[in-house]
Amino acid sequence: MTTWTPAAESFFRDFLSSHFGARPADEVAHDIRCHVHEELSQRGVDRVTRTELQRVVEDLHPDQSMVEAESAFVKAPVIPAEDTNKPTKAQAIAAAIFYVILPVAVLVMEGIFHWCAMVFFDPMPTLAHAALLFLVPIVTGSLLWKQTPWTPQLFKTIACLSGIALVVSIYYVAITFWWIPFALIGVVYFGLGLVPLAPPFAMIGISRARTLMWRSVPSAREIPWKTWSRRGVYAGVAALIILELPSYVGRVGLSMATSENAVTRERGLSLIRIAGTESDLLRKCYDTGRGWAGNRDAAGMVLDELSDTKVSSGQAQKVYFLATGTPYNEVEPPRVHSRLYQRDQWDTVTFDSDQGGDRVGGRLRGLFMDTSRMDTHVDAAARLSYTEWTVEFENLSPDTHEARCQVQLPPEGVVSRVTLWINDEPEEAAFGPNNQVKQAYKSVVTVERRDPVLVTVSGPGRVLVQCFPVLPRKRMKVRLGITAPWSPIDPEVVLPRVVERNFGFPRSLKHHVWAQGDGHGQGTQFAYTNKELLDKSTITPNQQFVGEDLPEQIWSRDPFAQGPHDAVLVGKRITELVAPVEHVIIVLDNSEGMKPFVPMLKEQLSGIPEDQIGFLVASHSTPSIQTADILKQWNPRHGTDSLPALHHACSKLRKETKSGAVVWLHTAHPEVSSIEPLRQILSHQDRLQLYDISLTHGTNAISEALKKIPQFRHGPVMSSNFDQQLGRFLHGLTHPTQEEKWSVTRQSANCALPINAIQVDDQFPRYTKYLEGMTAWRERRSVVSDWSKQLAHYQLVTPISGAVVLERQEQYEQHGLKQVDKKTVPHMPTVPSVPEPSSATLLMLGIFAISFRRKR
Amino acid sequence: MTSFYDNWTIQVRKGILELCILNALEEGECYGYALVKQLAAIPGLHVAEGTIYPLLSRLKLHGLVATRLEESPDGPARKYYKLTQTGNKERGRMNTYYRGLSDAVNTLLTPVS
Repeated sequence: MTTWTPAAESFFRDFLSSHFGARPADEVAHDIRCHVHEELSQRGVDRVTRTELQRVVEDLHPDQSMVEAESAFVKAPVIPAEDTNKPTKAQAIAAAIFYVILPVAVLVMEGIFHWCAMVFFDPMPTLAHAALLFLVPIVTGSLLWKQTPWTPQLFKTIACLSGIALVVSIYYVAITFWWIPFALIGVVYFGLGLVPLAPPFAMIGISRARTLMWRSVPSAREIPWKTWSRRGVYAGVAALIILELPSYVGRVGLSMATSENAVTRERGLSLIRIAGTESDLLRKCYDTGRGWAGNRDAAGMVLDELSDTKVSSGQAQKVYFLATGTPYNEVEPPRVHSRLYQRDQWDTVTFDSDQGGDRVGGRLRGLFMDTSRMDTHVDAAARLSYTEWTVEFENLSPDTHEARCQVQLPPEGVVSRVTLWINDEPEEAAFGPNNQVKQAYKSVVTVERRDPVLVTVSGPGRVLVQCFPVLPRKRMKVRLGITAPWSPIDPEVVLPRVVERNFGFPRSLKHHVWAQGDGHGQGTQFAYTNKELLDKSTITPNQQFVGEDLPEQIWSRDPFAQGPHDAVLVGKRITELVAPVEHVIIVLDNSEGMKPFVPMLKEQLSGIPEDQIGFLVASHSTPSIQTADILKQWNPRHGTDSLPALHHACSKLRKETKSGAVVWLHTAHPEVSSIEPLRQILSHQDRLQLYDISLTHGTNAISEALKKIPQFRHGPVMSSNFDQQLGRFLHGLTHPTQEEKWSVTRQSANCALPINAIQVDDQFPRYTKYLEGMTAWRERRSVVSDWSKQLAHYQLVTPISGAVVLERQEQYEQHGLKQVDKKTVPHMPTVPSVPEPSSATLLMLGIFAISFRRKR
Repeated sequence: MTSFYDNWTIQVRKGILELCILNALEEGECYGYALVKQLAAIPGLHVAEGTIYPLLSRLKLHGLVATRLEESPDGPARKYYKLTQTGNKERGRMNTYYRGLSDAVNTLLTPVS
């Protein structure tokens, strides 16, 4: 490779201009340079100096009169020369505006405001997309306005980039082609609509710029322009394939995964797992198709337009779970919008299609749980705990939102108080049959759009809390009171926790917990972060909180009694033998989320006698009952629908045993297939129990669907000693066990009380009624409506009764509801306190200082 | 006298140099550098190498010759010239005309003794 010294370069330029005119045509200059190079290489010159060059060009001096004559000849060419192609000033300005400035401005605005992303599709889902799009006007501008001579390297680079830009512009025009006629009509008739025309303008711009280059620079018609331009086209196609193909493959896979044919469905899921991207699938999950298509990508728009059968967001949500093993609303949604309101990783934009409905749905922009406070009291004598959970929601978005969440209650717990703060005043709920409170809530939400809170049971041990409206830039404060049994044998108090939500938890959120007992001493205060609350949501009260030598007999006045004749409840501690069931089948969810629990479950389950317990791992293949050996090869992955396995297990027990129990150990499980067959079996078989044991937070569609089936119950909830709880629970199912309980009798207020009976607060009659109601409901002993009224009278949220807070008295009256009397709601007992050591020290120091001053 | 003679030879050469280039390309495609060297080496034609490139460029503009570039590993791409169909037709017409002209001029010229 020869190198030219600067002096040689300068001499050569002078030589060209002095012998071939001031601006020799590019082609002649190129030819002369080639000639010189050939001469030099034949002479074996590697480094070209001025002297060497002078020798070479000696023979190149043209006959000057011939050159002049030639110049005159060339000025009248057959093909239009460079000068005649030069645009006028007006043309240059128009080209600058439409080919460069308009596309750049539109891209910048899209980057900031996401107009296209909100209405049609997201043109720049990644930075790479943005870079490719910005390349088009930049290359166009470079080709149109580059004045200085092109160096060979720059020439090749711009040729390559122009090829890439051309491909990108054609692709974006192809996918936005359908809106161009509308934009043209807008421009012609209304003078508006230039923004949608940016893609075609950019494409015309790059094409024109390349044509001008081709015409005005002769070497642009030759190698290397053609070669590098072609390489650019290939590179552009490759870049688009890399960026877009996974989206298209994912969409095709999504379409296949919703097919009626099982084989096609499996192939579709495999395609998504191999080549699709999770973010694209999530976009579809959040695409409600109601004007908020901000989560749709280019592939989504193209395939949606081409396909007759569109995949709904609900179908996409099922496929997302099956492909990944995680419900869509547990994963950070893809971001396409301004970060103006973002406070945590869950922030997103979506139209809330679930407002006023029965499911939690996707995350909402700008809605957060801002404060959380739990006050827990253990009434050791009554073996009950009462927890009040007060939370505040904050809405930082410009839209009104409904906050929804599912709360996992402590085992066998029941919501016994609901309070909403209206104008900073706490307002208690009205309790009533489920359909009545739901009807009241929905009519207020949808018609009046004012302040209700609804709490209903959404499954065994779970309640759905709905609060509306959380106004823009405002807060909403609610409180749940939860009564739950407590046992000195297993003294943990499990705290309630949110297992599914449509709002964010700011990173700074802490659940401030106050725990106290009815023994001597004071309460204690601590705080959990959200993650800690999920992992260790238990408090173990020590002897400071609970009294020793717990009473065997208690009594309490019943504030809800019908009259003085049964106004007092007396409870006597008894032990009852609980018979085991004939056979147990443990159904193991096979979804990805089970992985962390596999070692613990293998250890807990492998020691169980095999004659009474069978195992069934949920899978896509035909389910069959196995022994504990199946645990050795158990390897949860992706998402699995547990319903076929549950249905198989229940069918088997119904046919083969008189009493059986199915224990379902699982993680989050959205609705994947029809629950009706399972519901049918359970509703016709009283002696078959299905126990739900959820190991993680997240949606549970099966639980929601079976919430009114009495045989569907919950097992132990996740806590710090869950493994021991699970062991005891399974032992209790398979062996006769002694269970302690209260034997309750009612008596007149005038009758004498047992000598050793200790008075407890009114949580006792409340919880006693809950147990009676649930037993009657499970055994179908009475008409449901009778019990729903009784349970509502005792202010309890059960599968057949709920609670609602409305804003005005007439709203209650309109729906036949009555707000509870504030005197009858449960209250957190106060505990006598002694000063903290630090306070006591300060006090003593203060007294000492005062007395010291007086002495002086 | 010398000045008149020089101008006259230039005029004559200028007229026939394109004819020489087109005829030199008759046998087929030719590397530009080799073509220039070939023409410059013809005795009596007295053409400087640097004069031929502007002529080639003009012939290309008129569509009489076409070019092809071939990448070279150690320098600029090599340019190959060849006659186009139009160029071949024009060459035939120019040859016919030149022969007629030459014969006519020969009738007037006194034979060299």
